[in-house]
Amino acid sequence: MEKIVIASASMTKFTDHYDKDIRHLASEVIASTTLPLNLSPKDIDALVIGSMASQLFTRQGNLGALIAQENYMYNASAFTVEAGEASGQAAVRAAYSLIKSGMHDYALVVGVEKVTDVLKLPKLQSIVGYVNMDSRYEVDMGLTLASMYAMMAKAHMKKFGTKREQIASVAVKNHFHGSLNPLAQYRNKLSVEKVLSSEIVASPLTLFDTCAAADGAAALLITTESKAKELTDEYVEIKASTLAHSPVRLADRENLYSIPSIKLAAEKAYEMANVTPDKIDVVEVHDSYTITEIIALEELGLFKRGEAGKATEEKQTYFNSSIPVNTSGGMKARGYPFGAAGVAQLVELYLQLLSKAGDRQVKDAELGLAQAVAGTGGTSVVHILSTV
Amino acid sequence: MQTGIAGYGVYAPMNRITVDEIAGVWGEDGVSKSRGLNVFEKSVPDPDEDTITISVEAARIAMKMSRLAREKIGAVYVGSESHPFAVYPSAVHVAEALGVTPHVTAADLEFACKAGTAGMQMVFGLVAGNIIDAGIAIGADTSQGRPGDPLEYTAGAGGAAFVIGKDNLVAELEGTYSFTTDTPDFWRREGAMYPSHGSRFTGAPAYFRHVINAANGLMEKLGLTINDFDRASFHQPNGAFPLKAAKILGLPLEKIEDSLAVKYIGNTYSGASIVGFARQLDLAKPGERILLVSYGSGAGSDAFSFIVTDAIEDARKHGVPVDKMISRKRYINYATYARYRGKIRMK
Repeated sequence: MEKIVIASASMTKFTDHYDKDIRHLASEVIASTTLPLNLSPKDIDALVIGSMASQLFTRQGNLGALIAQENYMYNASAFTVEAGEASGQAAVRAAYSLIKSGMHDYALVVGVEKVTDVLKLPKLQSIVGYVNMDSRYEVDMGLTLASMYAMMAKAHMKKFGTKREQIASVAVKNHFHGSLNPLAQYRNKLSVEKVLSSEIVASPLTLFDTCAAADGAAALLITTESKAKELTDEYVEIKASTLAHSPVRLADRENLYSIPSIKLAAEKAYEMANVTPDKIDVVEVHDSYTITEIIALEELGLFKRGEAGKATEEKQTYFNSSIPVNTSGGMKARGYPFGAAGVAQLVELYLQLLSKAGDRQVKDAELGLAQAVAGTGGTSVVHILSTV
Repeated sequence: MQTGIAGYGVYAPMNRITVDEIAGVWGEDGVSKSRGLNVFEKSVPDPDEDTITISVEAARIAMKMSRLAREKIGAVYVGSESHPFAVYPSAVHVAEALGVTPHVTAADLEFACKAGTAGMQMVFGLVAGNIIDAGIAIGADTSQGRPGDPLEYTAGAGGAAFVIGKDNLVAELEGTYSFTTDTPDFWRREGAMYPSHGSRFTGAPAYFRHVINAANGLMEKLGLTINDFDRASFHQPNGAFPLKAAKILGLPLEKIEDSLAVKYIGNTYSGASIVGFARQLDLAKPGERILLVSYGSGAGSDAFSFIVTDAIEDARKHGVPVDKMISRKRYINYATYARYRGKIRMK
């Protein structure tokens, strides 16, 4: 079977793009992804948009047609993939399937989100909640995603003795990586004290345990290896693309300190790629909250359950350490325009594997893993990429 | 002909409510809010105060300082976003109260927080064009903050008045320059009690874009650099924005710090930049050059350069220091504040 590869990848800066509409963000990234390949818009026969909630954030749906038309991709089969906060990577999975099935030759995945038109935080929280949680039994009853993760943090701390400072050190690390990433939303460094003394959002989580609103877009061009070779010398292989789900409602899960769907997706991915966790050189996890990164690292089998907090505090997950995690800055510092961010995780791996990650380059990175999760864990997506 | 300011006056209502008191009502951290906004308390008008009463008080002080005869006043303009009437100008009440009617032109102005400085430019024009000998321009507001909205912490009440002419000048106008665009960062529909705003959009594309461009445009027009200024006052929606603008322009913070009345009386909207300017005039020495840059949402900035004259030290004795208005205060709690500002549903 032919290898399926990413032949090109790029992203916009993630920030408050107050002067750009969702279509402008998409067009910008489509240009930066396709122009270097000398690929004509009419050659692209599939356009998969990864956008979590454009209809609610910016009152625009039907993004497939809108973006395809705006960018002259008249031959593209275009549609949007939605899987809550995992929409970006879910879109990558869909595009991967289109190429693997042989139905399409060139699939352009565009993750794009325009969030900052929502001015009031309660409305933003409400949208994120309804899109990712159980609307009737959780959101309508007054629960927010932040409060759910606060409970999960407390459960993790109680069960494993994880310390508040260890959870905060995730933000410190990700901001440090952000300071090395020119496209990151936040490039300021943080300290554990600063994280702990910022405003309480949902105890014990403070403002700096959470992500800010941002706009942005990221894109990948996925095709077969033989077609990629006609366009470029540089491409990375998609060795695994998996998706799993577990109860959307937190109350239906066995415990509050784990996210089973991540483990399920990861196990399938390791099997598909025929690798073990210890072989992974660089990881992008979905740090919607600081605690989310800690739980994800444990579900991915990179650390034993209950030990990822300590490992982060001991700086084991810095870009130049044993298991580099979120070298991009993560959702926290790189920025979190939902659908775009998921695709951006793969852009980071692409850069790392092709030695284009500048100051945050992981030495000899050959195998990368990206993990996305929606809400408290309803859906999880995992991709494993490798150099060829 | 050299035009300038012959007299100035400021009025702020006596009541004060602290940021801490307001934060307590909404379950927020007052200390953290104060630190972030660089504002500690704001003024609250008594039930019988409004933009007209504030304008009259400020204008009386300005008139007294100017030592000009009433007959010399040929124009009265009041800029505000809280005129008591949509139709029936505040300016005629002020003109009548000052005793300068009927041989006077008058009108009300609106341009969010820069309505006062727009009025100043108009009077400068009338004087320079030899149409009048002197006129009064006032910027005053009693703007409402929507309960629970971030702007509730800073929406204060107060105003400043300037007698502008060609005689008895305490500060000479060196030049003025304005920068205006269609930028909807903050607005209020006819009849609405509270304004709407674009959150973070009120920063870079609004306040900073216009203040910085107006300052630079003025300096280019007059052939000056930022180092030529001894003092400055910018529009002060909080105590942080002006300091950030100063930093961007390369203005040392000590040259703007004295203008920040906002820390103690809140954002007086149409009065904001000019109350700060009046405080700088209270402290300025003859010969000093002062930069004034207002900002009004919608949006636009008016920039002015003034040079303080020798006459100011004597003239100030006939005015009322801004600090007197700031320090003359009594504290009220949120309940009283809600009652005074008509936020309690009576029916």
